Amino acid sequence: MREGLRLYFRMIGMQVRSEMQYRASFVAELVGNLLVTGLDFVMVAVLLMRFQAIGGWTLAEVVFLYGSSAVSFSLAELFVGTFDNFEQWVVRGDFDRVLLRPLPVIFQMLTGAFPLRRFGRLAQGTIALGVAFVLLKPVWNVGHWLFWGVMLAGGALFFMAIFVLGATLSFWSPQMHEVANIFTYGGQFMTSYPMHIYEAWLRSIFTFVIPLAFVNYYPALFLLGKPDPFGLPGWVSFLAPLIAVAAFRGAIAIWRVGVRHYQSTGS
Amino acid sequence: MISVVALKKEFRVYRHHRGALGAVRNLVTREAHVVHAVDGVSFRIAPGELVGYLGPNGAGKSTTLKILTGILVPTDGEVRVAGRVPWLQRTEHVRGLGAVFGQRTGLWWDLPVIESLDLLRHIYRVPADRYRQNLRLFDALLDLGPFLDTPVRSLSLGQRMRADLAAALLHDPMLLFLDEPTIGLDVVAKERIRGFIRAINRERGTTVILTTHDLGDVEKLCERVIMIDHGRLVFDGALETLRQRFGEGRVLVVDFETPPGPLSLPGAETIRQEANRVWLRVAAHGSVAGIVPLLFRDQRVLDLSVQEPEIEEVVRRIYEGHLLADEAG
Ligand SMILES: Nc1ncnc2c1ncn2[C@@H]1O[C@H](COP(=O)(O)OP(=O)(O)OP(=O)(O)O)[C@@H](O)[C@H]1O
Ligand SMILES: [Mg+2]
Repeated sequence: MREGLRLYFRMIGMQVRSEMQYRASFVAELVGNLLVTGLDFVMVAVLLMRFQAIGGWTLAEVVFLYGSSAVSFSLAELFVGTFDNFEQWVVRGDFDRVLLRPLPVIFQMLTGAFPLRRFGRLAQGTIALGVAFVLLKPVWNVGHWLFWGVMLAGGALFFMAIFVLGATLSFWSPQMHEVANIFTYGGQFMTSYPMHIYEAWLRSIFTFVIPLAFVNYYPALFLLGKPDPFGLPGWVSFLAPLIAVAAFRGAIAIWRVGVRHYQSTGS
Repeated sequence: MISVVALKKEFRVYRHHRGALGAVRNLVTREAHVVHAVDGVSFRIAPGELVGYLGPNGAGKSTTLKILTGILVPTDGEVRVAGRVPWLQRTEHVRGLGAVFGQRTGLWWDLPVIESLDLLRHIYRVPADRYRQNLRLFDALLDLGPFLDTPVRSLSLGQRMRADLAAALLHDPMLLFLDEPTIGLDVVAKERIRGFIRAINRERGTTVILTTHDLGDVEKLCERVIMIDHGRLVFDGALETLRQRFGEGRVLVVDFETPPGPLSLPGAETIRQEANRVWLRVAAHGSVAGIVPLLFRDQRVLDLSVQEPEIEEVVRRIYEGHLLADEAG
């Protein structure tokens, strides 16, 4: 275990040093990322402010949801970033290299990339959360804070599951990657805002098909002391860890099947 | 060490339609055709052997090596490497082997060579003094020193290949798989790499399987040759046997004092004549000693030499022969 951790940091260190070779593009991407996602948020926030009454969410509450989703998502990206863009590994046969090394495949995937620019989103999420807490001044006990931690971790785990599943599709068809993006980046966007702003069909997809709402929106409802406008019982707020762990384990199991379907390349 | 029985690997290749609509069609229709890359190959390799795995482009060489190294799961057949099934016991299996797929590097692209070697040392848990010892030896044989601190992406092909070889052998594997280790290298670099492979095989007893299109590699390194074509085994045996069985026999080059008339010699056939010089092919199992006295019978002979069949020529004939057989069938 200790040795595994040491190797983990050693391999992450390699990735960081590799990234640092391209410092200029790193800074450019970081700034670009901040601008784009920041603009997204400003736009939606402005819209929400204009129709303030909808669902009774204040701007501060939306910022809380937005920040939590961003932090969860960027944690997922930091850990399993290699699974994003994985179709490239399959198309170019780079996954050969992973299979040739005497380390568990998942371990190598966790250390196969460490895109520093993704700290941009983490920073952004953290700032959003800071703002939200200043505005909300929540009176939380230890339980609330712990539950909030569980919510962030659950969200991260669930996003990881989506990344892993998306990557797994590449073993069968690298083109499926675009489809996977709808659920990763699309899911992140969805969970940044309260569910009531969406059409019913979209809401149903993210509640019952890809139950992202349970690891982000419903826990937030509990923490913010809001009833569910869609009439689900209060306890669904606490399903987050269960659903996240189940999704992650399921994703890993399917990934393992995918690995055995890996075909490498002809040359 | 290695046993392969009736190994098969099929690839399903899907027809791709272009464009956005095409992508959707690809998902729906999935028109596949099956490529039989390896089609019932069997062989055994004993510890310490150095085997050349040959065959024309697309014969299934790389596919076989990928199965043996645990990258691919075969469609059918049995494989045991050191008692293990590569794709089922992958981590234990790869711990004991080294592999270089010539077209591709196993090193960290953006970092100096030495950093990759150092990380591999930790991945394979090579003791520090053994690591230093190996590095010193590999440096002596492959002259790594000049580029140890160069990022892998800046290396020349020959340097990269040498670095990859060193990386594949740091952990003293008992098995080494090399897929075209001399591809694209100059004569000197090739010679150096051959010397290295030979040294590793002789001095450490490492079992080596290598594929190549450079028959110089085969002549200089391999005693045994396994040849496949269209996924099927066409030859397995000593290089010498290959030469004898598929060679057209030796060629006798004779310089006469004056241009000779048509020669009729039992067991030899004139294949070329230029002024005083005649090339005679001696039948595969014929005897040169039986023909030479006949030459002296009518004319004065100034000089005489015997050419062994070139392995290059032999292999070309086999490859071409099979291509022809295929077209006919
Ligand atoms: N990943 C793959 N997907 C589809 N077809 C493949 C794949 N890998 C190999 N093939 C096909 O299988 C056959 C054997 O390929 P392989 O790479 O094993 O040949 P090879 O003997 O190594 O040839 P070369 O000398 O050109 O390297 C070829 O027809 C090739 O097109
Ligand atoms: Mg090949």
